[in-house]
Amino acid sequence: MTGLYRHFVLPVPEGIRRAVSGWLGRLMEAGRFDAVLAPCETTSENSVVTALIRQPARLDRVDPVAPVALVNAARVLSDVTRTQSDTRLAVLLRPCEYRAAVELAKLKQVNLGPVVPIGLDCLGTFSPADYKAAANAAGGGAALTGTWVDQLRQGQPPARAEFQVRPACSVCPTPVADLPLRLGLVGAPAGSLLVEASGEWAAVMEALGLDEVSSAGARGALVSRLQAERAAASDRALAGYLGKVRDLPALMAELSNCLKCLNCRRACPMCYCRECVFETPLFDHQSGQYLKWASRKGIIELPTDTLLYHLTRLNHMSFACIGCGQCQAACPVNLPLAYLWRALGEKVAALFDYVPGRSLEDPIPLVTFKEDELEPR
Amino acid sequence: MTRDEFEPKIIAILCNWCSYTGADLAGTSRIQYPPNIRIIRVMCSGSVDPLYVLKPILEGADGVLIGGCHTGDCHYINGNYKARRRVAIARRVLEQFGVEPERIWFRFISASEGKLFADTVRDMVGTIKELGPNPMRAQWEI
Repeated sequence: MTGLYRHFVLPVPEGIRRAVSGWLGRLMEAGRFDAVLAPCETTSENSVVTALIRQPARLDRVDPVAPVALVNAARVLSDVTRTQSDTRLAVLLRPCEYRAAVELAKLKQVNLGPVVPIGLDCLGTFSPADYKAAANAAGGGAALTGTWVDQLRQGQPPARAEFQVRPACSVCPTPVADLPLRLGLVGAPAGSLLVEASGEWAAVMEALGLDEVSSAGARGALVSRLQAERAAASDRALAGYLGKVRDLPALMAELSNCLKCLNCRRACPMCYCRECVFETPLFDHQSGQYLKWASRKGIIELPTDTLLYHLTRLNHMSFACIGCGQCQAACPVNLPLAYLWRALGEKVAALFDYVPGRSLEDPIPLVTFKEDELEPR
Repeated sequence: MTRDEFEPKIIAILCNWCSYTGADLAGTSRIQYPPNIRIIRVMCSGSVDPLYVLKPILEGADGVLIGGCHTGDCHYINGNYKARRRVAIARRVLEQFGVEPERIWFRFISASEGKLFADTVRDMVGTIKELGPNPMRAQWEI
């Protein structure tokens, strides 16, 4: 979708956060957009939430590098754009969040018309609880980020001795989104960010007075190497996982702690139904029904239909799984949903040569069909 | 239960306009077919959510047959094409978890094809007798 990038240097003499806030503020004042949706550090300085910013003066909380994502931003982007479309909105998105936004746009749950998506590099995020503990220990998010920002510049994922990036991030092959405007940290020289801009955005960066450089330097090679390494590692891990769940009893064992709280479906950006079938009266059974089932089988688990719930979700949504892993992050019993969904999602999507998040033009498999396909049935 | 005695239970979800009418024709034409199917009539094969395919399989049904109109004949224009995609997904997901895809059949059977309906049921019962009973019948943690 994007043409050739031109590369501009955004100096960050007083830190990345201040530089990006200033850059966004100047674009806002230049009338490029009227509001910003971005990750922002909370006043407590130990958490980063998604915030909608309407006044340039309030951009000071924007934190584009903290490795934590409480929600998939596409989910809240849906709230902000679904029914109103006249405010031009810049949105800072990680690659998985942009993929989710593309899928939701096709489902008419996000309106990308007035949206200026700005890509962020992402080498993985920590669970919010891990991030909070680490930020508390480091004396705040800014100090914590300082400990790994040089690693990120060299393409090394954020790392701590005590914990690792979320499982979904550990199998994510896409550190960089395919967007016409993006903020590059991987491969950027110390003391700067690289702004990659194509099309009209290159002219806008020129007008802002950013220095253009002839190439992205080490960035291109670093990103290519990262993508290749991560794709190979991801394929290995996911194939290994699928090898573990070759029958239903194995899957039942994986999911045996499921509470049927439906948090995974609430956190999932692709589970866009206003009302899930599992929340409808379809599953409000008469009390005697449970006893009838128990009589037939001798014993039944309550709540019922936990396996049915996960398998139904896999049937409804797995081809659209963009791999953000928010399902597993939201799970109170840490079911291994991220691997399950990524691994099986790829297989299901392959039936239709579909790659979720790749393009606004690829129709979603369940809203289209071909005259001759999938034969013999 | 030995394999010879095994009589599969098959849930057949048939569209009102074609396959159900085809089953009806098989009956009024006195065409014999094995009594292993339990028919559920729906308005369109395109209305069959995978939920209704998965539930019987998890509860221990030995097979699920979905019947729709031939391509181009759907009374709701294209429900059968969409059903074909949904069934392909259900078979792919279940295959990963060791459920033989041959337990899930999707067939186009028109209102005039009573014999095809009877033949389909006979073939399916034969295939599923080969596969054996669905082991999920004994599972309770579902």
